[in-house]
Amino acid sequence: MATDNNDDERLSAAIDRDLLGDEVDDPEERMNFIDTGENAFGENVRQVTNEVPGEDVTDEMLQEDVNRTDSWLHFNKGHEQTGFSPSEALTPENIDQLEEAYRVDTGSGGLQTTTTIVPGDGDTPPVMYFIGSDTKVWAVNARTGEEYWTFQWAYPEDADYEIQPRFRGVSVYEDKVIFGTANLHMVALNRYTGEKEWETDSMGSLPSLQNLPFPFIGYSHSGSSHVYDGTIYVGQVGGDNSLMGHTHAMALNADTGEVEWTTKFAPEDEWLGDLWKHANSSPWNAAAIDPESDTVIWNAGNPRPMLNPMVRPGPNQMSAGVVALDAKTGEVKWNDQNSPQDHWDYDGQFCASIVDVEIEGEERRAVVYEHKNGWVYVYDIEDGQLLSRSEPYAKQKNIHSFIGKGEENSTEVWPAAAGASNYPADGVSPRTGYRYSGSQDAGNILWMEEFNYPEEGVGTPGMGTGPDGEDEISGGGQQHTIEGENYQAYVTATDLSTGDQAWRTKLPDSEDLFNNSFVVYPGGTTPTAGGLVFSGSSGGHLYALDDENGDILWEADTGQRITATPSVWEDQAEGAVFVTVAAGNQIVGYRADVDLSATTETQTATETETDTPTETDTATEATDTTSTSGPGFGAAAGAAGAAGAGYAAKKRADDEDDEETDEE
Amino acid sequence: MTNYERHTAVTDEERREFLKVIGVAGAVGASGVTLGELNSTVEPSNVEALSAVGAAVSEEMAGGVNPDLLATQQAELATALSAAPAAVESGAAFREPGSAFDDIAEAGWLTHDHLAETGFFETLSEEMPAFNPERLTTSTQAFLGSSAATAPLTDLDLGGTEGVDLVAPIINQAEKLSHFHWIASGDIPAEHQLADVLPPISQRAAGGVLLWLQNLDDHLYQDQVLLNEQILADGIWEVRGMTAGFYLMAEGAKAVSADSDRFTDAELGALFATSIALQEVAQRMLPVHMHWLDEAARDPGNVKIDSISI
Repeated sequence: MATDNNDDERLSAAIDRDLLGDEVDDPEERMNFIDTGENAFGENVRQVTNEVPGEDVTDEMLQEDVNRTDSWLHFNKGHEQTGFSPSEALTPENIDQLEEAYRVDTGSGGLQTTTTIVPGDGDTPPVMYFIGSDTKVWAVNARTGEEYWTFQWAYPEDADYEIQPRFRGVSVYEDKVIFGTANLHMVALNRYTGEKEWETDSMGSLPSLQNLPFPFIGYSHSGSSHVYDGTIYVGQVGGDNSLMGHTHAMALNADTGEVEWTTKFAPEDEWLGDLWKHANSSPWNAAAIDPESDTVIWNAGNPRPMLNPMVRPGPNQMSAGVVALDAKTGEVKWNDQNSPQDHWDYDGQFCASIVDVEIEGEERRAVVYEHKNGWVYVYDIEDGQLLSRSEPYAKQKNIHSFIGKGEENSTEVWPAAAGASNYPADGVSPRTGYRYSGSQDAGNILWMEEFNYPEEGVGTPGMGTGPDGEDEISGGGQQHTIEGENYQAYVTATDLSTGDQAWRTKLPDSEDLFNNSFVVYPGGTTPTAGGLVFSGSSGGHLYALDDENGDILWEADTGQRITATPSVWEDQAEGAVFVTVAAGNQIVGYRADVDLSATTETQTATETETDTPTETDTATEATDTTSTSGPGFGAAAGAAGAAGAGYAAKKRADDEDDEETDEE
Repeated sequence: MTNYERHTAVTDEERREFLKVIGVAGAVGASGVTLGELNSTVEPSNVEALSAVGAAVSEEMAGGVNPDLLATQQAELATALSAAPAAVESGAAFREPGSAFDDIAEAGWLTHDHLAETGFFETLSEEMPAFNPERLTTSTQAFLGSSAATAPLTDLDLGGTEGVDLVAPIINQAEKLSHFHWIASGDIPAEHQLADVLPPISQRAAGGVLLWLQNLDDHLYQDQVLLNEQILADGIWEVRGMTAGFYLMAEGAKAVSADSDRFTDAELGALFATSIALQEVAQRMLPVHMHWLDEAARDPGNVKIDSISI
């Protein structure tokens, strides 16, 4: 199984040169180095082969993306980020027709981008946009992989920060493609020509970050932005190792780039004194947006210092959980913490999905996500009440345990700091009512330090820069390997109606990242209306699983680590369905020429829900109680109350009946 | 009194261990022992260091804080604490987001802010040495051996057997406390990255208590699906411990300011040490009992509440 690096050689070389204990100035000397390609400095670089054909991307298209079979316009499909392709074209019966069609070599390794697909029309081919780790945006013919143009963002030549090359996607709106940079800029390009339309220095709108000492290590718009109703929504990553560290969600005018609002993810009155300034708590993944309630759902990352909770008393609001914002104002509607006062690097890391569920006969608009800590959570989007928490979807050991001070008092904890899952977005299927989580069983050994912070610029948390794969990270230490343990990756299906695990399939090839063996998680999952679940593995294979039982039905070897979610979409003019996914330094496109007529008949949400046959008797009860009120997303999950919703309230009511007896 | 207020999270075995460490295991029974019994049984010793702390804080803070403000807020704190368990037991806390626990925090923030402004936390943190098992044993013995020091707990209905259980975790978790918590402020290196914003350690203890409390109402409402009787009872017990520690701290500050002779220097040193340790240990245990809930905690088979004390 291939990665771009020879880890053993790199490790040996690093040890020989005594580069592990001290600051390493040259990033390429680090054993965790990924060849992300050359960044541009000074001048932006635009290369045009051809102009992109097609029409503008309208608000209506963005709204309908969740139901369309021919588009993938948002990071994880639809404003609701369901991760579900309504295409029925590929099925367990014809999946063997899916074959590799093309590869796009980007020259930039460690791609984490999803592929955004703007549908074509007739002879106009669909267009694919994505971003490389070298901050280069690509526009290519999605049918063939042929390049239209590229635009590479240039960093200042005298930058006094370290560029952290992670980008997970772009967004499209009207005639623009929009992306973020690793020096906190937002940029809009003309989607036809690649010419820059506007750029916004986000720091200019974040006064609480100004006049603080540099370097801003890892301050980036790494997560994909999201356009809704003419507004761009984008989060920010704060850098676990950076001295600074409080973060914001932002909204910008999509036409002008003007900042409309910013919302700090560490409320000043919820942290003691000025500790909020270092809080981190980043909304670093993509937001999901509910058009019904104008609510933006964001992840909230871990608090800082990462492994030393003793210097940040209280629950450390709003970190390590989920935050709901008013789309128009940015005001916090509600939030909840899944690992308050986090000791373990349990970010809220997810891209949530918004779906309709039925709870004890009552329809609820719900937020669904899997958290790093190993549970799937379902919330009522209106008031933030937790409706259910699943059984663990990954191994847990000493979950939420105190960690000791000093390496000699360390604690073995599962999931590891890399989480039971991580940034790759996962999907939920109205066909089955299951949430499909790309997951891993991986642990780590953690300890806390009082004052031992690494030198600025040394390493990146979770990358294992020490000789035994340990990290010296903010406020603590971390050993990635556990003797006798071999970490594995899975796709896990959780039945949202019960919280129970429906099935769990071990992916045959789990490849650790360098010496950093607790990172084996798959790329995200993409369930389809055809009864499949696509997921890429850290070993480089793209798999198609049966959505009802997890059987692996098809696989293809990309040759490189897959760390992004596949997009599944139809090209009506060609009579083909495509699966596109980032792997290593390439975008790989798979194609099957199959009958699209069934899908063509189900272009609208209501029709899709009505017409979709229940293929087997093993579909969940939730399928029987499917509701149709959501904008295109058939309500799948059933009575989550079975998982215990309202227990306490009901218990109270029972107790009231017995009050006199109890008082005696 | 609600059922929750009849519950403690301390087992007979833990209580026995505690009594053994403070040297009275043979003199009192583990079940039903009260603060009053310990007042007359525990023999404080080696209190010189505690006396030095009490004297130094008294000298530096004399007249520096407003005893009337502290007394008013203590009364509000006690009232709010007495009302909170009923909000849970009646079910009100689960029907809509309430304010029962935030009310405790609200009462506490005025005290906190006042003590911060007057330099009380800085003084206390500078004078008080780092926690370790030996020091915690000494200060706990001195606290329990003093009826004056323990008397304020009766204001919170924690003066009997509950008062003993309240203090027991300070000893039973002394190693953890020294591990996880106490860093004498003077030991923080100037080059520490957070040195410019890190509050004094005693302020971190008090502030942490209030931050947890002000978020508890939302937690009860939002996350009620995770909760069961055992979780609620154990959690409320820790709330009482956190609040009691805060209350004792205010009592000490009030005494210092009023130049009162209610406490000897050693008693005052013991009161401060116990109050901070109590706040710290209880707020460490609150999320263990009420937030960081694993599958075992939610398992109905592990709900033993009826067999404990309710």
